[in-house]
Amino acid sequence: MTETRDDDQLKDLFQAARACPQDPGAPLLARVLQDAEAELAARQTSAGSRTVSVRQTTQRDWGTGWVRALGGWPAAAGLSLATCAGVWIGVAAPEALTRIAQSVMSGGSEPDVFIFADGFGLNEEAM
Amino acid sequence: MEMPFDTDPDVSDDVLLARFARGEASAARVLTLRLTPVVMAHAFRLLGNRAEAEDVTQDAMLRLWRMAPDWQPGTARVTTWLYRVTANLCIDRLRRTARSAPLDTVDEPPDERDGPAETLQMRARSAALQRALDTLPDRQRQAVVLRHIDELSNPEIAGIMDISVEAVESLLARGKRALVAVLAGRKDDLGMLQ
Repeated sequence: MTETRDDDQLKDLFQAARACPQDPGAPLLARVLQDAEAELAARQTSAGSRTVSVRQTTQRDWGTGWVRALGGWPAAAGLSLATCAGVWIGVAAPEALTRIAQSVMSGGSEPDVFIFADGFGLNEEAM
Repeated sequence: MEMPFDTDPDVSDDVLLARFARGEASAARVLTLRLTPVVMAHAFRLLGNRAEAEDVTQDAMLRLWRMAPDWQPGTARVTTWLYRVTANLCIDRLRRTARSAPLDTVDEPPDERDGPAETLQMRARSAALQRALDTLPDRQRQAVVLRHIDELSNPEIAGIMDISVEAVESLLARGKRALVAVLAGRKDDLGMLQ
């Protein structure tokens, strides 16, 4: 067979080639290893940056997330106003409210609407 | 730079690459010692030029380091992947430089300090083979080097070159026939069989 004859003629050369490999040498080995170490360092730096980025995003959400949960700033403003009104009423309640509260707390009958109206400057005639 | 010997001969390339992907620098040292010579030897046989082979070797190993996190253990051999990457880099380089003629593979003059005559003859034969390999088409050269110098099987070569085993056999037959023809004029110098 042609192939066998070719193999016979080449086998000594192939054997010589296997016996004389090109040694990479220390400088090339060092460069390859430096590349590996640089790749490891780059990966660690990249992972650290991603961690900081996630942390920052979380902190930002903590400051504004509740506003989004309420439906935005208009809704948050309305809630704030209602809260302030409630505090004001509690601190400086009109006289009529005070009487109603006392009536209710003492187990009295239904509060008198007219008494309620009176505390707000509305006279009975207007009612 | 003094490099330690491969201290983990029983640990597979797969395992070492996974360790490297997890950040173990020691795995990088072992892989460097183990795989760089393989890549360098293959690149030199494909390019016929040491300086270019060194560039390709460093490039191929750099791709290995970058690919490590995505490596799927058990799907293929690391060396198979490296052979393929090395060959692609070599062929790209050859096509970029539009090298139609073989490179000047300068024979190193015999040095009496190199040892016995047998060693000198081995080196002469190796250099002559390289000059002949340089004349082959890229794919024939790749197949012949993988089979007869790197000593891989035809199925392994088929996997690396992404062709059928029959195609590998065809490349080998044509490549060796061409080598014999090129070397015919130097039979006596090389002590080749008639």
